[in-house]
Amino acid sequence: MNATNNTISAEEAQATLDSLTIIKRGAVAALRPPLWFIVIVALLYGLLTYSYASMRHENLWTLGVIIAVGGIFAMTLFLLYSYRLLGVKMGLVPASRRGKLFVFAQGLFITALLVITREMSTAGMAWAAWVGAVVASLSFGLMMYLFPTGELTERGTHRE
Amino acid sequence: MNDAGFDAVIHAPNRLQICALLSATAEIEFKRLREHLEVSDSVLSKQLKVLEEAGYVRAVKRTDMGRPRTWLALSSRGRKAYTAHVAHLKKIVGGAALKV
Repeated sequence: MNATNNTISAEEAQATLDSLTIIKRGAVAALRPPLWFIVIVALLYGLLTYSYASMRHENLWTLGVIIAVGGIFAMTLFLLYSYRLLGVKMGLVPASRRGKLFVFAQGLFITALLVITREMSTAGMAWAAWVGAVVASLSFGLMMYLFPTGELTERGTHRE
Repeated sequence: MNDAGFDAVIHAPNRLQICALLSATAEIEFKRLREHLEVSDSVLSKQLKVLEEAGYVRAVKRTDMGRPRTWLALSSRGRKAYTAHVAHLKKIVGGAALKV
């Protein structure tokens, strides 16, 4: 490294970027919630999507929405508290602009899925609630597994 | 930090690792960071001092359940410098790829 005159070669820059990718991947693995947590929250989100799509006037699916929202909220608080005990404070929203945009896109996708599933279900397509719930569960679980910090991280090294 | 984005303070391997880990979280406790980096207390303290003096890292001492803990966070200045440094490295690599 030739940091004294603030210039480095392309090879050195590449090596540094590769090591950064490995560090970030390590951080993602260390900060990833346990699998049981991901499964429960993903199922709760599936329940929310199904209940919201099946909700009509005063039927019992309103209770499903309340249970799912309360469950997701309680699980998030539990995760943040347990991380804090382990010496890590997670921000609800990532600090980087790219991370914020990514979280915004995730929020948009989740909301769109909820609305589209409900619209299709109320239009008479009963299967839409099931399909929406499965898609919501899988996508939410996958997002929590792959991007636990909310930041978009490269899957491979920069050399790949 | 210079205008081009390269930052000699951040570029040192241990300090780069510290910045990368701090950028992924809001705050990390000193002990947890030391375990993750697999370095001694003195090595981590020395590197953190350099980053603190540059204004890149904030260290706050708090007592949680009667236990004193030091929490570390990247300052907004540090975050900007780290982002600019990584962007600069990508630019160097991108520039070299174009030349080839």
